[in-house]
Amino acid sequence: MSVQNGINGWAGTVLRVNLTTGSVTREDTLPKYKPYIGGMGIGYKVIWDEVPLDTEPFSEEAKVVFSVGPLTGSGVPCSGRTTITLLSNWSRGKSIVDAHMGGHIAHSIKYAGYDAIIIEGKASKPVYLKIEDDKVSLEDASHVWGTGTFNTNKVLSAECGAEFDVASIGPAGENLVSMSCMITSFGNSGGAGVGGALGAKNLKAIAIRGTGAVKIADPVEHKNLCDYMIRDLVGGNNNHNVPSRPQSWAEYTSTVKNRWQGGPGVMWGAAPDGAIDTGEQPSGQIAVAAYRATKGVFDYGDVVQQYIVKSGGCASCPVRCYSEYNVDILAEYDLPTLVSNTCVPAGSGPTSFYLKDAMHDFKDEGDSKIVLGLHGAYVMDDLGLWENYNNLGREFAWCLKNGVFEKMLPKEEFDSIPWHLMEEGDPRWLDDIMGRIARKEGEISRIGEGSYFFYKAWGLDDASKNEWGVNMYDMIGGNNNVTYNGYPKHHSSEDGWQSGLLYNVMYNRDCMVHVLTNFVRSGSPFNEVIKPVLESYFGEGCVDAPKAYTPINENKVKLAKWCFLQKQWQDSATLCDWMYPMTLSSSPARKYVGDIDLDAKYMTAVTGEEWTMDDILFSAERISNMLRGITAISFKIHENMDNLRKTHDAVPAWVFDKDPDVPAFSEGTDKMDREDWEKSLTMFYEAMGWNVDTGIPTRETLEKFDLGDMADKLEELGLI
Amino acid sequence: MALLGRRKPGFTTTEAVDPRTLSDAVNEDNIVTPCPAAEQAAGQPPVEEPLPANMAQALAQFVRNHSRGGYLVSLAQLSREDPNVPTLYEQMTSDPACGDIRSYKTAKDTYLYEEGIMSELYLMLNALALDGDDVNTIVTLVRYNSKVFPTVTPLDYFFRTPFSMTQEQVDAAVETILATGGELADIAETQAPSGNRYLYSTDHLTPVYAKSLAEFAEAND
Ligand code: SF4
Repeated sequence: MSVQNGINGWAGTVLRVNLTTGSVTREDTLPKYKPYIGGMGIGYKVIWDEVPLDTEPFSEEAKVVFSVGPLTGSGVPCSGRTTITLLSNWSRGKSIVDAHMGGHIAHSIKYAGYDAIIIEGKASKPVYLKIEDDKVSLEDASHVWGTGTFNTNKVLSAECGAEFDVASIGPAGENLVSMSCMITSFGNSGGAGVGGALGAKNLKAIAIRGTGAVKIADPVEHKNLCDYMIRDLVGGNNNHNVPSRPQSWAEYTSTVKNRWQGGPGVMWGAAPDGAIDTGEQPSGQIAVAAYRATKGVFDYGDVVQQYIVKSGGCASCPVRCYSEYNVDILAEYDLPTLVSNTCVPAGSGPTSFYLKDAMHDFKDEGDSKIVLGLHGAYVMDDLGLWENYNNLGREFAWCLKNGVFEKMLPKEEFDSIPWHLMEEGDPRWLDDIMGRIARKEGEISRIGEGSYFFYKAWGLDDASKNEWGVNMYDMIGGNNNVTYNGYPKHHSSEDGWQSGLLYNVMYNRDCMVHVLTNFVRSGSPFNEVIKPVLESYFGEGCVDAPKAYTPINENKVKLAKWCFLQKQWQDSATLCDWMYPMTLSSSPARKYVGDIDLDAKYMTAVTGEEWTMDDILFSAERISNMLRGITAISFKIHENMDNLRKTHDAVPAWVFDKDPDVPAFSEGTDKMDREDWEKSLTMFYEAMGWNVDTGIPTRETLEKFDLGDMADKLEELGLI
Repeated sequence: MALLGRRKPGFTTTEAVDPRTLSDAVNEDNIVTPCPAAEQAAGQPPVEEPLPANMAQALAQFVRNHSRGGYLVSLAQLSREDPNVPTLYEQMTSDPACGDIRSYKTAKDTYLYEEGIMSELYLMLNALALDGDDVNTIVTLVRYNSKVFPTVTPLDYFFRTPFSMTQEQVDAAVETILATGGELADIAETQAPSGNRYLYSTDHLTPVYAKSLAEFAEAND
């Protein structure tokens, strides 16, 4: 029986499972966690309250928090996301990070009656956590330990029943590889090292079934809002609001490669009952929204259409950003042909493991990326390997191209690697090479420690310490590190001028913030749509045209802060950051104006309490300050650093030195200017109420958000 | 007359099929899950479409049907097929029942469409495609995109519907444009780091800016 307790929105219960003792306890979500909303907010509160920040992240003492929010599972579109909070084992400062997992498991957690599941301790042997509403047990996992996530999810689904959702770690997690993730039975991943954190606890998987529901205060308003959103606001994936193929109703056609790729003549060519033409998809028509993204075409181009079976996605999502394929070519290599994934793991990630010249087409021009990318995605997912937004691949590619492996690997190891598979462009190369990383086999597997520790190990973070004379952080071209902490940019200044760079440097992993890129790359014209709509929200000069930037101003800082807070809100609610906030609309009749208050309307309809965006963003700012305070403490403990501005937030040289012939703030570059960047940081810290010299929240700011205990700790460490 | 039974390429045609030639899978007896919408429709009285009162109104209805499928009606082509069309067109323009039918004129033709169905952009794209002048289509849209967005235009833009040009067509037209100079001298080419080709108008974008926009247009993470 589900443990619903009659509260609107929240399930009402936080589940705590101690793997050492086997104890299962429950506590009320409210009122304790309400100021933190849910999801990420609960995760941060638990880590702050319960895990000393000098704790070894992959240890019995560490905790991992799976959490969802008041909107998860409520039927609000794109609310099927789970946040997983843990301490990082791989980025500088070993501070707090989140993984974000899509699929159906968020709904299952909520329907089973929980807002969060806190995992603590360490089991004496491999186990999996089985949850069926209020029945919670630890089950033996020795029969799946050592096997991949696909087998594990299949076996546990069969064992528990098809209505269970399963998420498991692979060999990478079991072997405590830092670049590890977990994978759901629908193929969605949560990264940031969560695989190793659970592997260290001997927890192979979670299998969960929920039969309850989310109580909604005003179902009629809720339904109206959902319909309104899909009908009048939603476009394609990333809420890109202009189709990339001309459609008869559309006033614009995107010339940038955007994420509304469906349209007349664009086919799901391998659909089970015959090819489907995704056809016209007018704004205003709810029934056709799911044809719009057809994400595979974005990832691989038109040649992939013949392999698309359908668009999959998270529960409650009408957008479906997750193309599923049947790539028959793979059968020729005795490899699975039914494959899926999206974004980096399915394209540039796996192909980075080949020299460019080694890649060849299989059947059609341009299909090498499809065959290698999708098999690579399968291998990475099965191994539970995380790509760190492809820093893993970029580092491998750079080492491959520059003969680094030849120099750095012991000869015996180098000779044992079947390089001929790579040279032949054979997809099976990925099984071998990724397998070595996931099993921590040999020196080459150091790449799985993540950029920060890998560079240190091979001296790649200091030009004087390696024979190639490079600093992997600073070099121009092919390197995407956005800080010196071990993670890349994720739609940073190249899409969002100073504002994008500001939020990119705030986290302890790639930021995963899509708010700016969503409208910048929407396909809409800048002067007629993007600029007027955004300026109507944030004032004149808040946005720059692509590659034509201007110096920092107050409205850009206002926008940067809004984007930063939005992320904390979305991961707490939980809502998909690829879609929210509804900045733009697909509707010509609305003149493409979105609805940035929609989230508050949903909160009001679901909880029955009056929520405004100010309320929401206030709570999000509390969580943002927790992120910052915890980061400052971690940097002090692990690196003896007491100034985040000069360390955590420092930006590598390439961001300022790229495009050497084009001056910053002229048409033709997205480079930043050092002086302007310093000014941007100062203005952002001021907007956040942080000390402008150190970038650390002041006591006054922390107390405003009832975080006085964090101020005490910072003071004790001499940080404020 | 030919008008009412005519089908353009891409529109459905009706073929008489001998049921004995169908595979078992599609024989009626083997359909075990009938479509609920079809069942519901079967129980409804047939929808009575009022017959056009005259041939001018029949022409208007023909235009509407095409517009709703995303097509323009070429007056020149239709007139070649049916000599009565110019007269019917004149009658239609003065018939209040046909007030929703509009015309879009290009240097080559007049295209008819139903008001409120297609966007301005699509009318332009469709008319350019029907005019069939690849050089003019590319030049017009490259200038439009450079001015309005502002952005560079990838060559594969013209592979998409409604242009559906082939690689060879695009290559030939681009070669002509870049070699012509004079009135077309503002059209220039740039490339993204991938090597993909883009066109832009120097009236609106500098070469440095255009190159950077080509890079922007392709970013893929
Ligand atoms: S847009 Fe994609 S990631 Fe977001 S909820 Fe939908 S399917 Fe999930």
